[in-house]
Amino acid sequence: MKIKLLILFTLIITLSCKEEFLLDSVQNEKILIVDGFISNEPGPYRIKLTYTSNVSQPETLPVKGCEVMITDNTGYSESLTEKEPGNYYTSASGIIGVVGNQYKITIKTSDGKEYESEFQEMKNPVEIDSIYTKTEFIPNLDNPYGIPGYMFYLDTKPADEQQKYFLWSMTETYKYDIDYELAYILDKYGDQITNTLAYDTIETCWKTESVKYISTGTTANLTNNQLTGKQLYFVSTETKKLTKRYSVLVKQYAIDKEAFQYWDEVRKQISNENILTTTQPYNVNSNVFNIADYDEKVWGYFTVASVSEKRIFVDQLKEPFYFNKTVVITDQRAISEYRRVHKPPYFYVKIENDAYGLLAEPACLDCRNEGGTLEKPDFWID
Amino acid sequence: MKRLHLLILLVSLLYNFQLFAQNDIIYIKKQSTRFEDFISGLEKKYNLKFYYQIEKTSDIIIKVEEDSIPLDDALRNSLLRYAVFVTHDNEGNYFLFREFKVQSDVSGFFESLYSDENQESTEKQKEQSENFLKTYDDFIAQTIVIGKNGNGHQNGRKKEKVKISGTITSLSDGSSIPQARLHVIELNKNEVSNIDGYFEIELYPGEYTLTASSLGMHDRNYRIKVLSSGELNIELKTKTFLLGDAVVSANKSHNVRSTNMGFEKISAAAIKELPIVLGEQDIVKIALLLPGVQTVGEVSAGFNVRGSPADQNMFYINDLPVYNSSHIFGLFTTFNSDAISEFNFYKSNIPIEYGGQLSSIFEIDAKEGNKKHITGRGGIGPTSARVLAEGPLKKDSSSFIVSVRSTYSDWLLNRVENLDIRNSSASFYDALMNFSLGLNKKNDLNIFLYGSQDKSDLSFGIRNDYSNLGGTVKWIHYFNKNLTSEFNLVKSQYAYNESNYEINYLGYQHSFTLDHNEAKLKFKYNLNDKHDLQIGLNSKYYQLEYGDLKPLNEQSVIKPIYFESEQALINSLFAGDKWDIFSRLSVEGGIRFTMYSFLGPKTIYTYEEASPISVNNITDTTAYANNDFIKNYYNFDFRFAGKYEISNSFSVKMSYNMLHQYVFMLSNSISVSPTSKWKLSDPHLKPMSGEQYSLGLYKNLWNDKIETSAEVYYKNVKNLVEYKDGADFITNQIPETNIIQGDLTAYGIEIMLKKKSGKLNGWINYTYSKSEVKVFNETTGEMNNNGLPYPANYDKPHALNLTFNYKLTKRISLSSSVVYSTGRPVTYPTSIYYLNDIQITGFSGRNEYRIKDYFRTDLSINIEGNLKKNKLAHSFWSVSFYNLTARKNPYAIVFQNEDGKIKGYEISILGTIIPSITYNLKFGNYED
Repeated sequence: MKIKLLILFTLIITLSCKEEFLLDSVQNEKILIVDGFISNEPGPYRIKLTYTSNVSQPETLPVKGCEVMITDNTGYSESLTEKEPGNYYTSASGIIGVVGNQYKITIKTSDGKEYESEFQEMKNPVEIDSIYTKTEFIPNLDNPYGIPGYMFYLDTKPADEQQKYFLWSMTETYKYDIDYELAYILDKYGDQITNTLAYDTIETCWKTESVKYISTGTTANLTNNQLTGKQLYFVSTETKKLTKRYSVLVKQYAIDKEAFQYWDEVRKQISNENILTTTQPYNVNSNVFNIADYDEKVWGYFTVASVSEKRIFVDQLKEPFYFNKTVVITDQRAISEYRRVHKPPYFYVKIENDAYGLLAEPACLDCRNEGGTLEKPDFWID
Repeated sequence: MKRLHLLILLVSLLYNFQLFAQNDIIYIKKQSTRFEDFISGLEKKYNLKFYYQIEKTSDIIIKVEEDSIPLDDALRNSLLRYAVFVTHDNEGNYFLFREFKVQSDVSGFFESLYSDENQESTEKQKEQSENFLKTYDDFIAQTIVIGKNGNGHQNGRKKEKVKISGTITSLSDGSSIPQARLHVIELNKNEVSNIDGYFEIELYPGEYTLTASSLGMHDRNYRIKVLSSGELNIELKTKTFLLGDAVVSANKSHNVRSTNMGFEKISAAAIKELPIVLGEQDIVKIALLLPGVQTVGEVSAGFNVRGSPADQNMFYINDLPVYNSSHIFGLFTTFNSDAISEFNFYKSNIPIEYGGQLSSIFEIDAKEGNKKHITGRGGIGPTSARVLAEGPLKKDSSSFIVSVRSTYSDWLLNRVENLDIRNSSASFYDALMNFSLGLNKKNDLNIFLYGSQDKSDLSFGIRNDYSNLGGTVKWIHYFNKNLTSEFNLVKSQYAYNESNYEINYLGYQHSFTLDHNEAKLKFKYNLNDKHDLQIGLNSKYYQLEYGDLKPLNEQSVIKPIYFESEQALINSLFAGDKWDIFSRLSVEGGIRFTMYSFLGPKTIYTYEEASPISVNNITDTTAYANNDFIKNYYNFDFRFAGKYEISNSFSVKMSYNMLHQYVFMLSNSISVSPTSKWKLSDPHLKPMSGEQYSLGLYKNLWNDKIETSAEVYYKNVKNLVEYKDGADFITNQIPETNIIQGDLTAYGIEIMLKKKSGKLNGWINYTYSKSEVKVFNETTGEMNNNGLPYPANYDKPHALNLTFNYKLTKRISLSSSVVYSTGRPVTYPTSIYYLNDIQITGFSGRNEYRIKDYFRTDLSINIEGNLKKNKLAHSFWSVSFYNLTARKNPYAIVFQNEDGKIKGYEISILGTIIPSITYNLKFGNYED
């Protein structure tokens, strides 16, 4: 005995009744965002101050003209200089974090509001023992059997009793080629012309960027103070990052419990990709507050951390790749049409089975157009 | 699609018929009670007074064959057997007498008065003291002898006219009635009283029928035997009630005179006047039209009563707790209105025999079977079919009733071309069996069984299956007139199973079972006129099984997760008294002591002190063995209610309740979903405690035709269970790490105006309320919403309900209800910011924004079949329209991040007019 009637009703109506409404009524309160840290690495350290932006017009709104100061528990303090709008730096010869000392930040905005954080202790650094990868397959909606990629793991060295909380940031660098190898260039008459621009010199690049992912971990519930097999992040073959050689610099921040709680919450929020979930959305509390009005919302965090870092290199992943390559035209009629519309020269590239195709976007012959640079980074080891 | 709509409209469906309610009637439950107990019970409950001069009343048994019989019918039918007659006035005074004599054929009168098959008993009637009759009996046709025999007026001799004189006065205040009309039927002769109510009438000796009538008064019939000149004083009653139409109002008494506040009693008959929603009449859903009752959305299970979350209410059907009372996501309740005689709803002063729910109790009474003969009824509505059978097991003492309701019509939906719809399905059933066994005069036994189940399979990949199953055995023993005991054994189970195959390789299933076992022993003792005592013992044993989270199939990559079960024992002792201090002042109070024990086996974690309860802070783990007492909580609950009657139609009441709740619901969605799990208090999760203060004014107007009331309440709940920000519901093995306890504060004012009788009847009520949650644990530093108070998810400050029924003709009536409420609160994404170049969404304070206001109008038209008295079956049609204005009331708001920008969408369900037609048929006449 089944009835689909009500479902039917529900579906008929639901399908036709999802209507967009404007978020005009939403008031962006212009909340101060504090994003900065001090570590035991030499400076300069950057404190970035921004305001929240509108949900329908995301942008960076720098908070200019503030007086920003980092103070330690010995009484030493240093004013920061605004070098770019909203970006405040310590001087290169200035303050350097010392393990065991406590630090706080004070901010005075141009309209006279004063903010500060509590003193926070710089913990003992903990060394990274090793970073390694495993080939894993992570499924998604289109690929139920999984997309291959490298999962990065980390082991720490044993820490002392005091140091239980960690935050990792990753900066990746990878070497890549343009999608196709250039075969020949034709002029408007269909004659081959000489490669005058030395395209072979712009086909391999290195690109460095921060990994837009936060990883946190703790040994608080472990009997030994050592993390092993900590999953850091995943690099999938949906990008060309693993096509030639890949390197990552992992910075391990030893932080205190409060900082850990903050970053762990932020991690949960951003890894929860779908904001449609039924759990209540919420904001994570900052450690910076308005000294005159404790209830004023301030987001972001001033993190005090000691750092250790490690870089590893991995070679090309021997698995199929799933990233979209640039468009190459092989159909003769389409090529004719393309050549009718576009001016020469026409670039033909090598595709599989020694066939050739016309590259639709010649800019793709320059790897720099994908954000990389031609200079090999100093640390790079092939 | 068109064809489907047509089908929905045209399928003619059997439906059970129930008589339209007569207004202002006390309905009597099916029973077999000794006369004196019955009478004293009524006097206590309804403020009625019974006057009688009857010998051997101990032999009289009041037998009520069916549930929801109007008091008058019940009395009349039961007492005729003993040749006892009954009448009453409009003050709630009942007069009973027996053995008066009627000399000649008076069946003509009795036909209208005692319309049933009891006419043979009129023969037994004997002469009755004129004095008694004059004083009390305004309806009974008796022969009044006027004058004396033998004064030269013997039979056979020529008669001379004699003069009869007297005054006509009002029965209620004794004032004389001018312009009253006297009509001698046989002679078609009329006389009118003068300004002093005095009249004279000349008649030949003989027997006549005399009708006295006056505007605004009840007609009164006399059978007079005139022998010679004499006096006849006539008293007429103010016309308020017509026998067999409307009698003393139960709620009239309740509203002003009882100590009950925040209380509603709704009988099955009463709901026939309310609009039918989607072809189903749902007695329990009427609660949503009462002040102080809200729901999160229209297709949401669970009620929010006076600002409390849904798990603070409990539905009891014949003492059986039902943990999920919703069919099809809350569209219907799991109680078939056919099989229900009435329900009582308590939202301020909860009876002391109930412990465990802070906010409200829905006490539903199933019907008892017919003790005379086997009968049945059946029906088909647009969504379900139902059958009900009842009959005696042993004539006049024991009976059964069985009712089953189930969805049907696969054939209908398989004809739908849309695959999404055809591949979705939802079905439900509910069934009950009620056996009433009158063992002997001193003992009654009641066995009740109940079950409900829902299955749904949505094409986008969620399969649900949930059920309630249980039974009760109740043994009532009457020690004597004043002392009764009730012993109850209850077993109830709620279970669900969910399979999620939205994404094949992530398919999983999980299940949950709650077992509720209960024993209750209760003594009721009427100490004297002033005190009603109650004392009892109550034990509950809970067993909660959190089934493992398992991969759904071999393709699934989900790792199984194991969850531990929980068990607890709750023992309570309770005592209460209702004390009528003097006639205008009554108080009611109770105390309940509870010992709650959380039992092993269970792994209990210890957390770092003054730190958030999270996996990261676990310092120790203890494994407890089976039946170890892991943690005990001892608590006292209190109830107090008082009433003072300022006048007969105006009273002030107040109540105070203090309660504790040990079982609560964990739900990851805003409304009650089938997959809501229940959780027991444990060493980390303290029992919730709640206090409620209420104060109310009750005033009846227009001779009790209009009831008005205004109640204010203030409620606070401690240790309210809230999910922590960002809690993970399904895979978390340690529930306490997901939960944070806070405080709930709710207050409001409820204003109600009700017209209970007449061509147009119904009610309108307005509620202003506020319900706020504050979660801030100072020890652990954990908080929600920065520790600031936020509106509860169901907080809807303004609510207005209007519902009315208008009888256009005897056969056509129109019902409508209009519902308005403030939109429920939601949390909006309000900003975007970047940390370390990662985009992060900023949100408003929790529940800072609101969705659009809710507004809905329903209309239904009932068309009765013919009202002939003798026929095989009675029928009526109902045409109803849900959401007449087709307003798209948003059910939910969703936000999506599209290319870094956030967009909002309103989703509405049932955002259009939904018509339905139901044909109702019942075998036997409507009075059966």
